[in-house]
Amino acid sequence: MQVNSAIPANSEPLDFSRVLVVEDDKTSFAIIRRLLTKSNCHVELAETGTKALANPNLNDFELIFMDCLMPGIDGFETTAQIRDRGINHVPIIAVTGSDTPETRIKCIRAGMNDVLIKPVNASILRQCLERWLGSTIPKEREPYEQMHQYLNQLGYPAEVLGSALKYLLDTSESWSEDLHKHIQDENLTETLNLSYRIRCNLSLLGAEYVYSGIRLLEEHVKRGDWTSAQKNEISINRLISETSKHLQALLDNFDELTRSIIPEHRFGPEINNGAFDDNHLAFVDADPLCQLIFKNMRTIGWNFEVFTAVDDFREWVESGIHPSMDCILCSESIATDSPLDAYRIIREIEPCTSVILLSHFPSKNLVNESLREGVFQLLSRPTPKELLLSTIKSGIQRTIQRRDDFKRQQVAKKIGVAQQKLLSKGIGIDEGLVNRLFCLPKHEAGGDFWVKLHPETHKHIFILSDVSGHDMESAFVSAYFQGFLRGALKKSSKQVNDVLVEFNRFLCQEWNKTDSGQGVDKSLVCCSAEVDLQKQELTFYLNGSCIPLIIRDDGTVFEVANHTEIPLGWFDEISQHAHVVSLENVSGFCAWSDGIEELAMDLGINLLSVLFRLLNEDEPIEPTSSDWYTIAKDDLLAAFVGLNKIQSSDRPRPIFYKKIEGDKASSIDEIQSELQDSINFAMQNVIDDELMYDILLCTREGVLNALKHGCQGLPEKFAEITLLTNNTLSTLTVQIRDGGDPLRADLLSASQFDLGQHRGLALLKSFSHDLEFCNRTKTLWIHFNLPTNKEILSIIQT
Amino acid sequence: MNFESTPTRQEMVLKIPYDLISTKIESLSKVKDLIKNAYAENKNYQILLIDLKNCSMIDSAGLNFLVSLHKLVSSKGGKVTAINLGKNVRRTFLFSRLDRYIEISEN
Repeated sequence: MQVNSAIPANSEPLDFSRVLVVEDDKTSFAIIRRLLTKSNCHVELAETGTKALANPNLNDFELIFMDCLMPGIDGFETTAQIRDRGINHVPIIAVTGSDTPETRIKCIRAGMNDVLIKPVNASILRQCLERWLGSTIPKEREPYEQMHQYLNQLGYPAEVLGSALKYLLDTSESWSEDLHKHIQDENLTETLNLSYRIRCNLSLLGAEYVYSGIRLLEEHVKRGDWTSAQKNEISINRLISETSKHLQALLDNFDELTRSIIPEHRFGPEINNGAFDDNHLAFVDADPLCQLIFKNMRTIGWNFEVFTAVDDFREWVESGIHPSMDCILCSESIATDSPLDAYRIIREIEPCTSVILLSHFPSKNLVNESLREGVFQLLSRPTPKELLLSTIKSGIQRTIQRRDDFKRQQVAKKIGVAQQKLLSKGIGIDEGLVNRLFCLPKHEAGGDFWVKLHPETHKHIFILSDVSGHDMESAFVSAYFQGFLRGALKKSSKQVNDVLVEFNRFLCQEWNKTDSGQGVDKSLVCCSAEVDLQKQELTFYLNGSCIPLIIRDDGTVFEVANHTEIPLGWFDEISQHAHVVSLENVSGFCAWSDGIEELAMDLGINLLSVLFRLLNEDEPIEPTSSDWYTIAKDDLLAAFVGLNKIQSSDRPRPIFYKKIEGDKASSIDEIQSELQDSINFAMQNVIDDELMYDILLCTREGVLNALKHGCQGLPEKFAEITLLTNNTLSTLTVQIRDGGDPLRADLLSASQFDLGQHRGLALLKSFSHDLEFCNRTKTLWIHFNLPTNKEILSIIQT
Repeated sequence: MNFESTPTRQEMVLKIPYDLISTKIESLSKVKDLIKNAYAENKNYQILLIDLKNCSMIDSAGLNFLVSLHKLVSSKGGKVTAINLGKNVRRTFLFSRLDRYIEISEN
């Protein structure tokens, strides 16, 4: 933040100070060194951020000038690293060519204390040194001149300045008396409030020389050192009475003062130019001097509604007869614990309106907190005219944008509610099928959708569609697709895939228009399943979406198609190929959107474990209260279609499925943690350490046996692992199936096969869990002995 | 992996650094050579102490490895003792009856 106080050219030199200049440009360095040397500074150069960081004496500098843009580590990063090292006492001044509010905020955020705009001249640099090498500032140096030149730069018009000076002169009369009383009473709050008002008010009109004295007083009283405060009071009184004299002198020479205002800094009606005529601006500040200034600004066409308290503002808004504010200027709260208290209330009353926070002495903490809480811009007081105007202007634009977003959000909410209503129709038992669905859009409305159609008595069609993105446009495209689909299937007796191909072509055409800004930049992936109870067949069309898992009667699963058979992407590659599965021994199937896959990956667990939790009707999940839900990055949609009307809780359900192809025994190491985490997620941590060890060890042995012996280590063969439990979590079974040839023995002798003959299986046998071999030793079942329900309950409770 | 000897007590200590599972067993094969060499140099150690502090899982390959160490050491007239067994590794020892050949020591 630049300082606007002007310093007389003939002031005394500063003491000798060590200054580091971090600057890659030699010319810039030469200029700044010349200027600094004149001010009795000892100057050191670092040409890069890295060299600056390598300087072992960083701690000893009194001031650092930092070029913002440098090759390698830039000024922001260098500053951040210096601050990270705990070097907080050395002021760092940004030197930058970019005079925008954003740069200022970025500088302060990185840990810099002040900003100098290039080109830097002697006067600006001098002001900067005065401000930051504070102890060397001569305290008694011509305060009248200081104030005079400051006010010339401040640029307030005569009527505003005159009334402000008069007001300050009047109120300052009672300051000494009031301060004395508060200190005598040892009243912390009142003392701090008054001292803050004194230093803010005086700083606002250029009497910055009182600053350090009053800060000292504040430090004393905050420590409870009232004795020192009393001693301090004497010098403050002297400063106040001197300031009163200066104020009087300024008023006596008022004509001369206003004449010498620097023209380009002068606030006036001409700067308004009708730019804000249509806008409603508010100013909320409890400080009477600030209020006075802003009220008087109306005389030059600055139409602010001025509020002395947030409650007045609330009353004004809630009356409902006034238009909404387009931009609000608000001062930091000084009478409360947090400087953002007033801001927060305004935010609550006017959620869309940009709020510009004004602070006399913005600290790094205040900057950070403001950014975090959505303050539009933090400006230091007094704010240069141009900066204030441009900030208000961009604030108004932002308000308009936010209002627009807000309206959209309301519409999206309505769409989301409608989506949920439609989806809820797809839940429950009907027509001999069980249909379970979990759908949760990431935002108000989503791009994932599920629909079921019942075109003929023996036919059911299920369609999962996933439009890229999870915003309102996605929701709209998704809904449009569903309508398109229903209409086409009903009216033109088309097949599902024909409709998909047609809609896809339609989106492709739209996509090609996106360069001209006219098209829809959404893609759509889809999975459709047609259940034909007459033919006893399941037909899938897969267009870039999930590859559904078919669940057999025994709970084990298989994929509808191989990954390599499914086209990636959706453009011209759309699949015409149907995947047909016989319904024999099939209990149902699962389908899901990619948000579920991503969630499972982020949680490091198997997809089936997530599906089990989401689709377990015995224990419906409350996703918004779950920690794991918050990491989901996309809409979530999962569906289960059960082909048997009765799906009892005891039916085994898969929670883990993995196919290990080839002969790499090391794969088992890679999936061990996924296996463990999936069990814990699906079974909600009811498995104790001992049983988990058994599960992992037995599964390892089983898989190794399948890979090395069942598949004979052949690369084209595979081993499949499936873990099953039931809805009440009372069973846990591992099934390991190998892709090798079955034993050349009949089923009976295979089932009586001496397990001891298999290497590794002997160990399995010694554990106390039930083993079962079937399918001519190709399939191994391990049934683990779980604690009873009662025990599970007590584990959950403890 | 540490292989220490304390000549006065005629003991060797073998510290197993990780799980004794099939996918890691291969990297332990040179241990047997070390033991063979030690006997070849006429160091007639009577006890091989296997420290399983850092081993939390042991599978059939791991058990085989320990059995082969037992065979090697007992052929030279020595004895193998396992120390610092975790709860689950101890269970595996008992289930597989390995404790008949390799003594589990509490110290």
